[in-house]
Amino acid sequence: MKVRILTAIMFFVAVSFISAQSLNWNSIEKANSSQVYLNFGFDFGMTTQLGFALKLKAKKPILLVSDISVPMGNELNDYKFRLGAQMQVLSFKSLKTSIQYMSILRRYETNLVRQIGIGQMLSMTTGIHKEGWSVAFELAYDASVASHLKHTDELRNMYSNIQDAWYRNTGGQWQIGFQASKKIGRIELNIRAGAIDARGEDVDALLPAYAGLGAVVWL
Amino acid sequence: MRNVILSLICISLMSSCGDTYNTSDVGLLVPPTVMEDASLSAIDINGVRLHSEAFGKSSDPLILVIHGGPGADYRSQLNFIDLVTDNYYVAFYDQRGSGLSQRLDAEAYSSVQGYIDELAGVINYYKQDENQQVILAGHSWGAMLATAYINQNPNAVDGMILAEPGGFTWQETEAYISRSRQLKLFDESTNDFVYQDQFITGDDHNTLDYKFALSLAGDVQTGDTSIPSFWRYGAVCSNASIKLTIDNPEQLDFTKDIKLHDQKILFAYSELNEAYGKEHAELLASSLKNVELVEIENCGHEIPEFGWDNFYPIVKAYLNEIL
Repeated sequence: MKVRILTAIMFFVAVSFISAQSLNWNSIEKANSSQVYLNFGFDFGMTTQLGFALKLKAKKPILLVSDISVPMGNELNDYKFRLGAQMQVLSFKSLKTSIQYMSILRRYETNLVRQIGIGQMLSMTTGIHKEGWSVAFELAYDASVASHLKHTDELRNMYSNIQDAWYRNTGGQWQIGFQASKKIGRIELNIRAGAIDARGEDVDALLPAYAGLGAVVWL
Repeated sequence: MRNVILSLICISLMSSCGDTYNTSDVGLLVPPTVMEDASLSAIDINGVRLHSEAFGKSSDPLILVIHGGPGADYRSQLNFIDLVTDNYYVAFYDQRGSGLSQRLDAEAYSSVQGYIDELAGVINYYKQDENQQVILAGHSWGAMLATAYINQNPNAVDGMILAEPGGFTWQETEAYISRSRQLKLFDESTNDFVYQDQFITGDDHNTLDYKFALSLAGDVQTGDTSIPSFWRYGAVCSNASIKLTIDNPEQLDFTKDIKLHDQKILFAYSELNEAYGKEHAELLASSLKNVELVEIENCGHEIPEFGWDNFYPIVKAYLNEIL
């Protein structure tokens, strides 16, 4: 039964999406506290991400995670807010596998459109987690469940019948990559990078890759 | 813990409630093409239905306007209609896969020759008889296409108006593009350009054309203060044509026989497009035999739309001189 459940989880992960924070589960198992993390890198634009993870008391380590990221620029009208949980599902010596589920709220505004997107992301990370360092492979799927599009007069002047409305199932992106971390004192430095592939036959993003540097601080 | 996870899932599922649409639905985010809207004016050229219309008396000298892109449309060129009052027959068309013309698969844009043959077909469609004078008026890529046509048919037209062609060779074009479309990763406009990719993905023309239009919010360094008018961009056409050129740069060389065309050519560049400038204009003009080079004041790259007040008298004087 356990094998069936795990197989189902792995299958779900395989058909879903990612953007996990970099984590050394070896550190999490030993820690009794929460963490804040700061990431900087390319994620559909140069972004800065600030997050908080609360460790829950359970048989297996579980983290409640929330973060917000904003792209570079002089206007604070674009952001991505995520709320979810991350838990370890497999552990064999130093080899550990975790899954993460995140609900996502995105906002994007230009002189032509304001988009509000609701999405969800499922990710799986598996790798070697040693005392002080880790390397892991990550796979994720980010689904845009629905997007509300509201257009400005500038775009409406081009097409007066353009519809402001909710649009369903507007997108999906696979992410596949790696992450690595090194702990120095209470700070864990990490690096992530990988490729992005749009779902099915959808056209890929203009810059279909992600990369970032980050730091996790144990409180 | 189970309740927390269920709550999070519910937040996401809430978004699927209520009236929602698909970005691929016809007419919601971009206007229908001639294939979906029979009321649009259209012509059939080489098996492709093109959005096209003409104004004026058909027996007057024909001015065929060729829009930029590839992937843009002729809405931003409509000021040329003013020439009807000067007794010219002015015709416009949206190239295959652009504007309100029929959409095709990417393979249809696999050669510059396809665009040249299409242009030849449009000229033949509007030209009433062999003695009717024909002038091509091209903007940006449209000016390159006009040059490509004349390179193959040096004596086929009586005049040519070129407004900031990117280049007559790939080397010239690449140099201009690299100056006009610089991605600055820490800049608001660049992030506006790439951030939207996480909201919408698609493989259909309606979705892709809509996304292409939104990308205009990203600032380009061509001296214009607002976006040019358009009906509908052709994303597949644009991307496939650019890929074609990068993969086969030898296709983009329109200089071989261009000097066989000895009619005077009007070549306009804008005052405010710093990525273009007099130096680039002079470089391109050096490939032409008989050319009048003019700077259009107080506008950027979109000369036929935003620089028309200054451009129109120059065009009129040029036409009076050559015809």
